[in-house]
Amino acid sequence: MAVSGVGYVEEFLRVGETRIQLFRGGRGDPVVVLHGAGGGSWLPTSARLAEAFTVYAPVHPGFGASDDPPWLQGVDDLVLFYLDFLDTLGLERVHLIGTSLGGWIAAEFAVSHQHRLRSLVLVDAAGIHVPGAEMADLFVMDPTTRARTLFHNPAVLEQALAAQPTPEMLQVELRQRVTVAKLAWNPYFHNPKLPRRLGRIRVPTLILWGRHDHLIPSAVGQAYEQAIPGARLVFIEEAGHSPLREAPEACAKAIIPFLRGHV
Amino acid sequence: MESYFFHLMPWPHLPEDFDEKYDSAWVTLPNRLYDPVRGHEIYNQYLDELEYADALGFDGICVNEHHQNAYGTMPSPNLVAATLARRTSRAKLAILGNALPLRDHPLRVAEEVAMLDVITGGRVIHGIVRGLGAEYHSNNVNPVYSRERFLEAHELIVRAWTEPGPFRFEGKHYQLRYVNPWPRPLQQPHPPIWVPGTGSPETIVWAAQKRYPYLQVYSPVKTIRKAFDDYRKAAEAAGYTASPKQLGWMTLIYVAETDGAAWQEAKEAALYLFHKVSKRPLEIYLPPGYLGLNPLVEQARVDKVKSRERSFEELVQDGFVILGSPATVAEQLRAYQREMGFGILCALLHFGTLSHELTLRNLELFAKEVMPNLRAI
Repeated sequence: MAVSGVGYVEEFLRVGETRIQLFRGGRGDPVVVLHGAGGGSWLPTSARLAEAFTVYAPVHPGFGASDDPPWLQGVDDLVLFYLDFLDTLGLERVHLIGTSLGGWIAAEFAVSHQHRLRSLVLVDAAGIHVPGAEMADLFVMDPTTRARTLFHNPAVLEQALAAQPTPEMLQVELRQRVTVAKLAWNPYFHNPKLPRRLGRIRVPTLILWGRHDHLIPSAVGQAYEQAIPGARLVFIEEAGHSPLREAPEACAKAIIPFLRGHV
Repeated sequence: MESYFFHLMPWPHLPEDFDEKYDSAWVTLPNRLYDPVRGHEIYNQYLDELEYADALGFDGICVNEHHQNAYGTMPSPNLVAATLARRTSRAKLAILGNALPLRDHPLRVAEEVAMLDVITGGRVIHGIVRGLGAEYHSNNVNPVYSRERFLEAHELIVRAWTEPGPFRFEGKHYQLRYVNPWPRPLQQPHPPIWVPGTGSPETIVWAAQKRYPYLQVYSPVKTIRKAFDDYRKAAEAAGYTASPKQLGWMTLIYVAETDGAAWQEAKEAALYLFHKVSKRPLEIYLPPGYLGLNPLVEQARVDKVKSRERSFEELVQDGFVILGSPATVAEQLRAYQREMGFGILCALLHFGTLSHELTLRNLELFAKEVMPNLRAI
């Protein structure tokens, strides 16, 4: 997939006692991108955003090459971690983008620490339960079913299906699945208290949803739109659950003007 | 050697098209397939079999806990033990076991098992398990904390039975302001604790350290041999020599008049157990964190899942099934006992779709013609 965009550096950052992996690239106002349950990387959309902003894409504790600290037991722990993360980098106010699990973390961050945000972008975000719009059960899916559930873009899907993980990659994946279970086993990928709290959010909010998301129904995006004052929901047509990976041009087209409007 | 009759209480009426239509007999198998009218008949038939084992002189009868599946229909083993408590008089009631981490209130287990112990005059064996991986889906309990919860619930229950109450318990997973169960158990300091397992090394070492009998659930003979050796090693490391009474083997046994009849009569029923009601996708069998963080351990379990692919002949050859005439079965068990040194046999004498009549005859032949040969070893 040919995507324009600027390069990045991969480094380690110590936040308190926890060392995490961090992808960073570009120049301009700070944008933080929080990844989903599948793990962190420099996403094609991050590369596009880095043309206009400084993009920070941290790998959550318990994922990738980041530490797996014993205190990590819930999304609330990650919210506090990312507060420390901003302090460590000296970032006063940032644009916060979160996808899937990362969208849940971003929404929780916004309800409690919005004074640190310029804007909020939720992409196919987990975090709330909408009766009748059940999120599919990731924990019972075999790898093939999981890939078919997550991706609509044929090239991305094909790449996922063809993956031949090395033993090292399997070890990382196993650890990530355990971390996801810690965060999202019960209640399943949501916080029952979050829907009511979303009404506190006063920062400009954009919600993106892959038109073909088979993991989290778009009714969840609509519920986010209704619960967050002034939020706007935009569908990304040629994407499934992972628009930032599957449709970087469409995402960049939606996100960049929105961020520029709220500097 | 002591002989126990172990029952799984499987659902024997899966539809003809089960293989094609359903990918799991666990967690997601639609419960419309459970017919309560037939269930009434089945439960009572199974209970009759357990009661008959008491009359036949088995050392004990065993019940266990599984949830939302066709493999074993005893979500509450304590309820089944309660129905047996006053209908049996000699056999130990072995609850193998209560799945402690699945409980948000393990004190309830301490209360119920103490009740059973008092009612039966001290015939209860308190088995404790983590529950299979699938149960963590069914109960929405986080598999990551399975072992922590198991250990903490175990500690709570033992302390509830042995320390004067009321006292306070503040754990990571369980917090109670008043631990003060009425009744207290009759057996002192508490009912015997047994640990059935599927081979987790941590469980084996822990059981050996605590001197709790460890029971290996049906597995290939080489796995059982290794489990027992690991237990004995862990016992030596803990400063004592394990006795055969601390090692149990839970296996499927079928006795008929002749070897040929045994092979013929047991095959379909046994394959129903191994090929149908044991069917579950890997992701349901091994939820994340259930086995810790070692992918090699996961791989070993993946191999075990493949027992679903074994033919009947292979199941017999690998020791999942012991069958034949009374003389053949007794000789095989004596040989295995000499080799592996276990002192507890939990015989699955009903399995799969085995009929009530054949189950009763299996119980009878085992009790009358096999068991006497095992008593002295």
